[in-house]
Amino acid sequence: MTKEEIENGTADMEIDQREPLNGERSELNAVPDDFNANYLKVYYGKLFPHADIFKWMSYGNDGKHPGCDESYFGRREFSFTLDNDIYLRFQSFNSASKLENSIKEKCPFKIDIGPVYSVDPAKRHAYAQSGNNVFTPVEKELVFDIDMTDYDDVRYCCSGADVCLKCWTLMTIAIKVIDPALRDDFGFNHILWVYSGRRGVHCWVCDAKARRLTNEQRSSIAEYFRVYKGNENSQKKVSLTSSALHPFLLRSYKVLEEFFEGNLLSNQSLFSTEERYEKILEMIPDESITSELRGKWQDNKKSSISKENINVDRWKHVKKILKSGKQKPQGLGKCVEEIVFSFSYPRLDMEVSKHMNHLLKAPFCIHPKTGRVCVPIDPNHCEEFDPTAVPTLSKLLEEINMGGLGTDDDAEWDRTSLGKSIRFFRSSFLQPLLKSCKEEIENSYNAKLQHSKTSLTW
Amino acid sequence: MEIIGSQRKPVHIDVVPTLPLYRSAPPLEVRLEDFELYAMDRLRVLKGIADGLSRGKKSEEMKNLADHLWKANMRHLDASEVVNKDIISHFVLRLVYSRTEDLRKWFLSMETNLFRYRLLFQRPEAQRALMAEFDLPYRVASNAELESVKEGLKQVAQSFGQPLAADVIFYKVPFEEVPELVAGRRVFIHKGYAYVAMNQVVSLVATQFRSHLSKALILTNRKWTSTIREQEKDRLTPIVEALCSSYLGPDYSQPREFAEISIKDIDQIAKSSFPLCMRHLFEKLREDHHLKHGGRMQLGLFLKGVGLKLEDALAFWKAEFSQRVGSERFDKEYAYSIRHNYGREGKRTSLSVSSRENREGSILGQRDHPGAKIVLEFSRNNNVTCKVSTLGQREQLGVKMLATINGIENEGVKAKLTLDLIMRLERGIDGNWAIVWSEVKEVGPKVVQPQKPTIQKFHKSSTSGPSGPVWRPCQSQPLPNPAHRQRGSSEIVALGVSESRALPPVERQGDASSRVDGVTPMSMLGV
Repeated sequence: MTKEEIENGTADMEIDQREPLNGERSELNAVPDDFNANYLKVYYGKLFPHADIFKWMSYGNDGKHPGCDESYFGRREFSFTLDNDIYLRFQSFNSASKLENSIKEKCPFKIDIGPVYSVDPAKRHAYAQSGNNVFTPVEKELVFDIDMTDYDDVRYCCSGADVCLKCWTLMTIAIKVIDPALRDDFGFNHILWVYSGRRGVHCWVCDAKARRLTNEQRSSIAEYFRVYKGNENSQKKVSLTSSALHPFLLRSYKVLEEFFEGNLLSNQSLFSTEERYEKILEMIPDESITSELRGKWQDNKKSSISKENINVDRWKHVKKILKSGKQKPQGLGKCVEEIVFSFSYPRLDMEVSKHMNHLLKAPFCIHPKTGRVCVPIDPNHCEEFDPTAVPTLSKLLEEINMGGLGTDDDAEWDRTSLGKSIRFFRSSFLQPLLKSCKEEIENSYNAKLQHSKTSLTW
Repeated sequence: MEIIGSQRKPVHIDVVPTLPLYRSAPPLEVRLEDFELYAMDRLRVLKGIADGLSRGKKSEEMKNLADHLWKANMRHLDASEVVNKDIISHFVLRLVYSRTEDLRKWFLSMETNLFRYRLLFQRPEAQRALMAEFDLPYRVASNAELESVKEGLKQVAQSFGQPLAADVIFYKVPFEEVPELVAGRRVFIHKGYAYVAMNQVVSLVATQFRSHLSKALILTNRKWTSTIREQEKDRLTPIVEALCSSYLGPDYSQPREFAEISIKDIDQIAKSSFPLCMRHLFEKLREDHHLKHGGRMQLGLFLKGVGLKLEDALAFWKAEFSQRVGSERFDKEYAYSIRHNYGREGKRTSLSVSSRENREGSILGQRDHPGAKIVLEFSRNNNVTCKVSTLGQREQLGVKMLATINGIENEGVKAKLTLDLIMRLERGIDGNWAIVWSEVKEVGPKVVQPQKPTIQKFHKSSTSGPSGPVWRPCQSQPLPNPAHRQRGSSEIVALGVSESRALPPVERQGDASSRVDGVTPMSMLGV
């Protein structure tokens, strides 16, 4: 691709969010706030952590240990989305430098990571002729994709592709529900949460055990997490049929309740207008209760309660009347839980998790619409994460420009606001992961040696 | 497993009280005849299960269905042979269904289901014995372990509305081994281990069974492609290759004396007793005096099947075709294929009515297949305009149409209604098509004019119809549409009745407006 092509291709690129000019921008180093293939080239050249991605995707199979599988990284599918939506699938690389060179040369707008196949995906056609279906995915991280657009019926601050700090709470809740369950219930340790660049989060579970799950096992985990079963037409999105909650849901409910009552109620003004509270009343299957509440709230309108309290107060009414116990019909009590679940429980894109061969965008990509980097999120401090403060491509370039020339080229990223993210990626995810990969390789190698020894003596 | 040609030397393996796990092929000798017959019997069971599942039967119903199918098909006169039949038939089908990905998937799923249902009929001790036989590496969780997770176990038990019994045995199992229990949140999971209660062991064993079989199928396939297919080229290969597509419905190739029809009755019978697809072809023939090859073949064989003799058939076809092409050309160009149908020409094999193979090729290969035909029929004869699009698949047909009914008229009240009708046709185990599912949605505005008190009634009922849109004939009627089952045999069912079952959208309509007297949409829609 020539340089002209790159420039022409991005001339009409749409930008969703333009950041307001701040002080820094007016300086000489200012970079126009546009997503642009030329900037992307600089980003891939100076900032993108190629080596870290390679180390991660190698899972310890780096050729240093006699027990490691040297073909491993080369069987991984990468796919590049180039300018003009040209989509290159089944790219594979057998070394870190080949990966890096290809990314720098092709300058993909988006890099997706696919499964590790039984054979090099670039040579799949050669194997296809043997007819025996040898080209098949064998490993892939267990992934989750949570997208804000799936929450459009429970957020009033934004809709569609937009997010703000108010609705980002929903993503925080999702991390706080899914992450502990992956660790405590399923026993996974190497979990990476990543901001998807615009309006959601991705989760990569990288334990060896997780990478080798079959599609059926992946589905079962996704189903385990699924509570939300409604569609836009059904009144009840969440139906908790059983009399008591499964321990996982019980634990999650504590998180949900805290955020629902402490945050969503007033930040999303769930009860502030008739239209909004009617939506909640629809979920209560008892006419007498709903009309009682309705009557109360309609009168309430006249009396002047501060807007802040109206949501909290009305929720108190709902809870009080549903939990009062004098209600004859069984199951009304769990309506409270159902409402909380409907408005806050994570909504997973099930298909992404269910299949081994589903591709997912690589961390540290730049989202072409927002220009933001897909940075890792620390699940232990996810409530501090602010999607609107994530570094953008243009901001990073400004920071590079400000740094000037002459300094050590390798650590350029460290002086930018990306440094924090890369350091976090290494220290809390990559290093522990590689440590356990090495141990695993060592162990299986020793076991193999032991085995061959015994079979020799015999 | 050895297959011998003629002599049989039965080698009895010890009759095991529990279910066989089909871990390895038994050292049995099998007669070639049994090789095929046993497999067909088992196939009937598996296809019955597939049929039941596709009809959305509940697990309790499925359990009983599987039991019934098993008892009906897998009997053997010699009690000691029953287990052998079970094992032999499994291994034959394993070979048959190992050959492609699709076949393997189907077989794996059906065999696992069958195994699960059979397992459910076993006593707990037998289930436990099976678990031991699988040599599952799971151990019973110790009391100390249980104590540490007691709260979770109690909550899980409560979530089914049961108290946690004090003496329940729990197995500690990697969660990957019990995907369905995980998916349903039916177990407590902690640090990668699921605590599986004794009464959930079925799921554990079935999963194990499935994974064993899955691997075995791959191995079998390799063996088949590398050696067996070539070695057995003249003996087993043809059987194996034909089995998975064999037609297991009733045999119509043998003429029956009680089912004989003559030309003079044919119109009457067509009206009262032909299945819709055949009736359509028949009426088409009467109307156009012509049918394309596939249609001739289908209707011709059908007529033969229901007992029309060759002479009558020739006369019948000639009477129609000669009106279009002249009798001379008929004798030259068409008579041959009719005689061919009756085995009087060519290879001189008597063709039978629509074996699975024939149907797949001929019906689906044609532009207008039965589903669409039925629909078009409505549009032609009645004031219904249809847009037909078909989503044809191998064994299923989906028909989606937009119908505008504008002919309902009574005492000056006119109504027009646009409906979106979706139905799914499926071929049952007997090889016949039936409508198994349909849905009616009102898409367009209802136009009712002028206003009259009776409208209220009509209006109300017609909206109440589509509000419960899903209609499943199979729940009330577990077998395929009887109209399709009886092919002019003695048990002739009045079509009116059976069709109303098979055509839910029509029934809905009937429901809706039968209260407006004088209008019977059933007749309106040509039923």
